[in-house]
Amino acid sequence: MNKVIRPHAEDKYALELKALKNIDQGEKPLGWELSPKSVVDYIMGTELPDGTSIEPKYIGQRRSIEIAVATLATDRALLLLGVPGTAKTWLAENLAAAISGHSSLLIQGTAGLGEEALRYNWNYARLIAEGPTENALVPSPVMLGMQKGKMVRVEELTRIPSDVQDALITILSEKVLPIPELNQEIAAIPGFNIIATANDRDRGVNELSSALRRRFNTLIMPLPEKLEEEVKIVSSKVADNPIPFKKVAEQDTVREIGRLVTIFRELRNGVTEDGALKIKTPSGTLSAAEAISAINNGLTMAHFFGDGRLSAKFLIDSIEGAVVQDRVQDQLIWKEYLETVVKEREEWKDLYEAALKKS
Amino acid sequence: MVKFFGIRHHGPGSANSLKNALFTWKPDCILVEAPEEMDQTFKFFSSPGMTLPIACLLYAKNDPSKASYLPMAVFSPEYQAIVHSQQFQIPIRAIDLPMAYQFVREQNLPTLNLSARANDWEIDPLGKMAQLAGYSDYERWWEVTFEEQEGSTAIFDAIANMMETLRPNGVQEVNGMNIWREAWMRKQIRKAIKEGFEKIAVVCGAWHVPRLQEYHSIKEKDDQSILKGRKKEPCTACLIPWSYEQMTPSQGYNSGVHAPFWYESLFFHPKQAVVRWMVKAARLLRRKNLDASSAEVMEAVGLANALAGLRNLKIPGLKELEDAALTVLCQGKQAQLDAIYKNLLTNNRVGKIPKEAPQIPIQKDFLKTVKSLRLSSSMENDQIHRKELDLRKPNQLQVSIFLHRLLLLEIEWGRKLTSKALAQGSFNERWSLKWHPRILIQIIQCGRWGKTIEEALLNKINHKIEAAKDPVRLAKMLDHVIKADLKEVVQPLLRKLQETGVGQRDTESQMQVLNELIPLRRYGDVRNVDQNVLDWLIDDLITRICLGIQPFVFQMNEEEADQFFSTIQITHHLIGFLEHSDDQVKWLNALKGVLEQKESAPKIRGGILRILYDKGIISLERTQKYFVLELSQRDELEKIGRWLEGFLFGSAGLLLYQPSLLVLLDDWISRLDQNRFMEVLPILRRTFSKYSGNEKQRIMRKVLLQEKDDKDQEMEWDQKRLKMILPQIQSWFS
Repeated sequence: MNKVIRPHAEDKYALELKALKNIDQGEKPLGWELSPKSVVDYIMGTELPDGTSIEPKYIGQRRSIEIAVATLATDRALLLLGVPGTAKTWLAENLAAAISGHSSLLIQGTAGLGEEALRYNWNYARLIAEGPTENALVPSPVMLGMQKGKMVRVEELTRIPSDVQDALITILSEKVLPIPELNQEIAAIPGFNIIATANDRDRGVNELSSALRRRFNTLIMPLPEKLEEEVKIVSSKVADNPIPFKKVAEQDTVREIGRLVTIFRELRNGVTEDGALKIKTPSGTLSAAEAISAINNGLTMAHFFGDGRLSAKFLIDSIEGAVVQDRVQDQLIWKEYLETVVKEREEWKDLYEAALKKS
Repeated sequence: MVKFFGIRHHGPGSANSLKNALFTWKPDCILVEAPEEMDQTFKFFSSPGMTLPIACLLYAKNDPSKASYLPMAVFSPEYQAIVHSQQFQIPIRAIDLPMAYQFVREQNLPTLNLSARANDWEIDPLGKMAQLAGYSDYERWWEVTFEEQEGSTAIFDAIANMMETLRPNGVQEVNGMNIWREAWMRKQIRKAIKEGFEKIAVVCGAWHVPRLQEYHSIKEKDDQSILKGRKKEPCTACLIPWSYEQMTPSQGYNSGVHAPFWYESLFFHPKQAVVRWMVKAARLLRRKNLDASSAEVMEAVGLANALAGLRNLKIPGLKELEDAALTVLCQGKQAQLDAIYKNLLTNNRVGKIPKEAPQIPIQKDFLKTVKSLRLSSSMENDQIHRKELDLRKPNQLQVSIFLHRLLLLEIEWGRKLTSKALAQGSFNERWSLKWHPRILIQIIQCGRWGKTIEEALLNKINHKIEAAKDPVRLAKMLDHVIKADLKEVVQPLLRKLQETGVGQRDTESQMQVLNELIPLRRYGDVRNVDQNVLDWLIDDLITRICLGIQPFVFQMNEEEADQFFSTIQITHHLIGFLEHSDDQVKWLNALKGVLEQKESAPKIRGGILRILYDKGIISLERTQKYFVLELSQRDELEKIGRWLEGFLFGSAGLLLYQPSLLVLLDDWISRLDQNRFMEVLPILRRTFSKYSGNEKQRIMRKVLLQEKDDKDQEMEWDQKRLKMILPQIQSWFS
């Protein structure tokens, strides 16, 4: 098989899923590959009795994941809500992989999405040649999921125009997809459900109608609560970077991740970690996801243009790239942060100097 | 036959099982673990006027500050035992060690290891077992473990066995009080057997079961010896209304129940509790105008069940319910759940006591007064009621007096609000009332002072007056006493004030007393105070102060001067209100004397000069002379600074409207060299910081203008031409 940039969760963690399935004694809801308990274990990570180590996919409260899995086990759909970069998509993908065995039934919500993308489409050549027949029907991922009893993911649900969103109401409440042209309907078989993600930060989102909203259980995805937690998230994801950084430098990298996460958190929360100083917040989200890409960015630059070590210079470059989104406003905020916070920290001298050299 | 029913205090599962087991087993006598004094209150539990929750308050007769309360809700097994006994008309007895022993703390407890504290097992052994079984909600564990055996006494045999294992014989006991209590309870069991009861049910905390079962193996005289010669403190029990909220641990009740309303549902509807809880949540949300449909309630129950399955529980507990309600009913928004949370846990349930239940006299008096003053509606738990009182209306004056009395008794019901808009001596008062069942305990504790609020207050105040030595505190008390309309105390208080030798005290204390007395005189008319005594005391004090103030200010350090300075300010302000002008004259003359007292603190001298200048006693010219004189002490910068601080105290008007003083000050400052300027700067800053921004701006503009004027004069004024117009100008002004 050719190597892909980013394998699906079910391929990447195939071994873990297999091991879990082997020892799974719990009762499985109809159409599920694993019992709910094993799904939670798969997401939160654990050590299996046979020695297989299950890597944590989500670092945060176990309670949230339990609620998510229990929701899917009832016939309610799941809505993961949160600001960008809080692992909504990542969690949705892994839930689908663990529950249904594959995560590729996916609808990417956009403003231009039509109702047929949620229901079904026609192969027009056949439609004209044969008239409306089953063969001329092109099923949507939702329809496929209903037929096969699989989890379907809807990304960015709130970007889909409201009237199109409402096509989901019948599907979720009646578990049926009518095809009036054929005088037929597709009835979902057990195992089908929808995992949607939405972000509540961007403007111009289409608020869910209350009829649709009440078909979803909402799980609000929080930003990481503690510094330690966030460093752990960033470190674990950085290890996935295809460009290997030198082993000797690993310790260094962990330190740099700590500093970068601290900077991101402080700018995001508008206050220093010790709570002593107020800071202005820039326009970017600066979530854990952005921290991961900033670190990867720095590592890549260090790999190709430096000695492979994530030095202060590369770190500052990638941080600035993430923080300064708006040339004027963010630049000022970043400068102020450098002068009031970075400069004052003795052990951050190298960062400050690297930033000075740049400007 | 003696049977032991080991229960969990406030456990609805225990309560249900106990209720059924008693019904099946049919005892002819019930012994419950409750302090012996509580016995007398049992008869009121079946009264129709009783609504749970209530608490039994046990307090030492001679010192009600020693008190202990035992809350009881409908789901308390002890309550179910009482109900059973009354239903089947069999005797019930409280067999725990009387509080009378427990209140005497100084007795040596038979404890070998004093530092050892009660561990989790001891406080809640069954809860701890549930925890080990993976249940955070203990009651669900009970439900799951014992649900099959409804109505049988087998549950309690099983519990007795479990406790036997947890607390085997011969293990060193660390909790001394437990040794006493268990000895006493064994004694009571033997007594009941001797009286000829044949089926004795002992209802006690599960932890005690193994030790109480030893009533036949331990010799009676050994138990006797444990308690022999112990001191007792006479103790009384009474019932008071309680609330579910007070049963929660957040209210400081140690063995509290986190969610009393959930427990109540579990007791009445063990099979339906989950649905009922969720319906309640939905209804509360609707009351807050938030959507929560029946369909969502079903979904939420489904989710709670699914969560329980996921967490390896047979049935959902409180935690699962909360997670499900948050996710389905509140759309993941914690704030929505928080808005109904307290109500969901407690249902705002408050208990009631039957009228015929014993109330102690002061409690009766309190309730009677509350009723006659129409304050009953303000006795709602935790609701803040505001009262605006117009003291000219007799009824409202009575309310004010009553509230002041409670304040003096340290009963925290009303808080007096001070507001700038309501000037001192006004006819209005504003109060904020917040009732809490704790207040009833405070009232009962005041019972040691008397049978009515008034009597208790008189005794307490007299006691306080006896003990007080400080005339200033006495004077402050006088203010409160007058507002509380305790005329009987005013005379003794004034007498005591004289006895403390306020006349012989230092001038500052005299002034502080005076500062308390003058306002009384001002609004005393409203309160019908005998003015003569007060007048006499005020006159006397003023005379003494005027005579004493001059030597008093001699050799004062900075701190003392600061404090005395503010006392002078207040006294001066208050004396201005007195009608007798000779008091004022006396006072101002005394101040003049201080001004001449060269050894007195510079700040006070400066301040007094200002007072006298403002009053017109000392002219501007004299003031300027003083000013120059003080500023001329070149080597005493510190002193000059302090003097200025006193002189420039208050408003900046002086500097703004008397440019000559501003010029003097400005000159003096400009002539300071840098080092000396730095030295005096902090004091100057402190002085000027009292002025408003606007005043400071205006002073600055004046100074700048002055400099410009000076220059103008030097450069442009032609002396010859000036002389020509001068006669004309003079003629205008003459």
